[in-house]
Amino acid sequence: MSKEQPESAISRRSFLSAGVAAASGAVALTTNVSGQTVPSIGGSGKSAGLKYRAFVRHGTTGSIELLTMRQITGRQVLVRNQAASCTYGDVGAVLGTGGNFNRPTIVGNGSVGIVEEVGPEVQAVRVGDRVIVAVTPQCGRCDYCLRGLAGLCQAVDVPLAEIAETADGTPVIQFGWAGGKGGLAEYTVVYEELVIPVFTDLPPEQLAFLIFLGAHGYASVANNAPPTPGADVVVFGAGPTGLSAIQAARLHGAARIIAVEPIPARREMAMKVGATHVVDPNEDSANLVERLRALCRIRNDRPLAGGRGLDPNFGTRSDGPSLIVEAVGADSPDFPPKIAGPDPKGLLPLQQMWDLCPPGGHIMTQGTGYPRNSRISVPASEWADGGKSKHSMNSSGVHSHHDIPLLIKMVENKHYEVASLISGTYRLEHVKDCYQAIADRSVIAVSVVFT
Amino acid sequence: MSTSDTSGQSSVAEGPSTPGTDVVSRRDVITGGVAAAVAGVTLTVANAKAEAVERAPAILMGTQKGRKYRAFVAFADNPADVSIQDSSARVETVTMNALDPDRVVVRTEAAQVCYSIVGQATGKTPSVQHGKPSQILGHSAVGIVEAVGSRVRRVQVGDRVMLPNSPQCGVCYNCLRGRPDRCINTGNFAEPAVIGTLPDGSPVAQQHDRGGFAELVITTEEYCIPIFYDVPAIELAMLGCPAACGLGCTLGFVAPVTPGSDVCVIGCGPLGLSAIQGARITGASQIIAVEPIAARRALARQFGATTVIDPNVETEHVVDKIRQLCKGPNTRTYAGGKSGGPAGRQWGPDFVVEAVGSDFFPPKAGAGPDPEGLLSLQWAWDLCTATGHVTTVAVQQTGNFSVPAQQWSNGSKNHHSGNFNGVATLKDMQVFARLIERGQFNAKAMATATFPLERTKEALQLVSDRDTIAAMIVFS
Repeated sequence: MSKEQPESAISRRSFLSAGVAAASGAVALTTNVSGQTVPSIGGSGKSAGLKYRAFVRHGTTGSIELLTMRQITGRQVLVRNQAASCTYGDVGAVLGTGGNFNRPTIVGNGSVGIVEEVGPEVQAVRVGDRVIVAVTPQCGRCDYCLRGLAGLCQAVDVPLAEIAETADGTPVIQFGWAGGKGGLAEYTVVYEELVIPVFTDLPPEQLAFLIFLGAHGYASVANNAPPTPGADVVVFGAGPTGLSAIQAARLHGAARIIAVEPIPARREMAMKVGATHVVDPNEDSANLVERLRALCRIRNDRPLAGGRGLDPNFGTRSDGPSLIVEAVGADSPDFPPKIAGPDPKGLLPLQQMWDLCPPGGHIMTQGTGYPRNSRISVPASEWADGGKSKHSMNSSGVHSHHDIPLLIKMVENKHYEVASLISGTYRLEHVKDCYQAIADRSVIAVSVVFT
Repeated sequence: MSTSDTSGQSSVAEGPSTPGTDVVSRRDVITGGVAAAVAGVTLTVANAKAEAVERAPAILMGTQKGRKYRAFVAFADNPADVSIQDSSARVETVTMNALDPDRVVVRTEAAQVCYSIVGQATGKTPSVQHGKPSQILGHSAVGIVEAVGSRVRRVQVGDRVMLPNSPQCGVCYNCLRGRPDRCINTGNFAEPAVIGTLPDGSPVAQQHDRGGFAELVITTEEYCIPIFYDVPAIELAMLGCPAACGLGCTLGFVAPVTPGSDVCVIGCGPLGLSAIQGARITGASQIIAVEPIAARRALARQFGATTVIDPNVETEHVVDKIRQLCKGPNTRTYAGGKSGGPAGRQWGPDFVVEAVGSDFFPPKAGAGPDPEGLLSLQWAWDLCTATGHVTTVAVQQTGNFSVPAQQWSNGSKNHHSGNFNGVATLKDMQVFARLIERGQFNAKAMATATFPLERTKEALQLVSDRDTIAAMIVFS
């Protein structure tokens, strides 16, 4: 890197070349995958009236609609999307069940693209920047951000913005907190706290993986109770989030990384990205905890010489992993996977993790979709003083503005694997096929791409 | 259930590409085992088979009084600037006193030869004072417990133990405050106990109350770390001092390297090479190694360094070069980046490790730019950014080191003066042994020369010349 390049090693301008010469301010056209054209306003300040396609959910139906954008203001940023983050959490919203959409809502949760226009108060990004629209904001100014807990950033409470209109003039919002973000649209309008400039040439679908699945899986290991080198880590679930958690454990120098996953292809992938052992939870399910504990047994049983013996309170062996990460969640009853785990409700793994955790160990849970009113019950004496530390961080404790650029750096350095986790990409018009594949668990990670 | 240790890791194995340098697979390092195979590495490999000599007979019971064993002993009678060969240090037969109830008898398998021991053998950095007992040299060892005093609880006869350079008693002021790396119950600074006599009847003690260059080590319980992992003695012995010290700099609890960070290691002897491996194990994205000896630079590459720098080339630009390497693509200060600041001082490694020290005995080839070892301290300080961490562990510098008072006062640089920086030996030696066993840490490639006890002076000469990474005294 030469000194003469005061800005960045990667020209931000190069990303504009697809659509527009920013300096001219003229509206240019880019070709999208469907052969239609996406108008690029390229910093002209003319977001108002921009026509664009988006997957919009209203009531119980969702479809691709042509919307008209309103003028952006204040801290808002207009992003022309290259790819959207597609996750299991949106299966119901896309395929037609779940969710209460009483207003027209653009579905999706995060995207990667190019900044086309910024509101007058925006500091972090400029027109032409390649950016990630994160799932979780990091404002840097709220109480949680100031205490190093950006995963709980209070900017989530920013009201949903009406950023566009349908053909009949009904205001349209975007799904997601912090003002809404959507993603399954040619354009996204978001507040600055969600926008991260990235200085990379990685393909859009790889960045789309990092936005939610990659970042949250990594954060679940790195940001709450990170394992020390030589530690044992057990990851329940080797979907995209779990596969990222496995890589995080490897990057922290864990000695044993045990993945628990019912789908053979995912177990295979777990071994490729850093797991040292894989276990099928459907096999000998009743003894799963004991089998995992045996794998984590340390050879030193000399309590006065650095070893572990019997737990003084419960008289049980105190072997077990330092960290247990949950990346399972519940299966949507409407869209069961092709190969299911032992409990579609996702409660059994939570129970097993509690049982597996030794005194001094940490449990990190991040799953969603559990049946309404379902509960986890554990022995009160263990709950009260069993020495188990349980973390249930919203957003897995992700620090979006720190973790996502870090992940990009590690992908570029080939320390963090993404390419082989991408099973495919879909065009916006095939968005339902994309989410059906996610629901089936027949793929690892897929995304909708726009370029 | 299937198990495997290596499959799949190759897909994410490649080290980052640095302009003008070739890409070395980082995972290959830990599978290869022997580093000497790498092209361009030329190290004297003296894997001398220990000659068949009569060993001290095992006595597993009683006070051990009168037991005889051989040891490499240093005396206070060396003239100034005596050579290693001409020094009065020699193998002697020691007759044991009765075993103290707090002590343990360990039959040595291997002991590591630190550079600092060279000066102790010749008297340049004397450990034996005039009028005080002679000392068995060495300060760490690996062996088997043969007898324990009546008050010993931690180990039992037959245990395999590592005797590291720092103990962990668990009950002293520092141990109770989470700093067992500075355990106070160390023999390093107290008058070492007399544990036996030489044939002329004179008393003999052990260097740092421990020694190691002897068939037996008579040590205290706090130093005994039982090891339950299946790791060869020579590799474990590397952990006794330099490897653990280096791993502590990057993996230890004081300033642990974080995944994705930039790390600079100045000096690639056994300590720096271990620090580099520690940084790789814990996911550093960029590891910059600075070392004047070509063979050591090549090994640094093998162990995970992404860039290697010869400090004798453009010496005045070394700091600036490293800052530029750590610049990163984002210079946007309102969006997580660093603009650079005056002279690029905002840019730099997140972690700096200094492992150089002074040349009491000049190397055969590849002396660094400052034999006093102060320039590397200066570089380490300068490279450390505000909020960054700089760990210094090198020894034997003389004189003072000065920095601008303003930086010292409020530059926000986190300086850790190391020693066994961040290593809790009773806990971490087992972790490190496990890292060796699982192929994550390569100690074997650093233990490049082994000698029997009677050739200890050859081992010291080799270490003094820097013709090896590390040397071992081994016992059959």
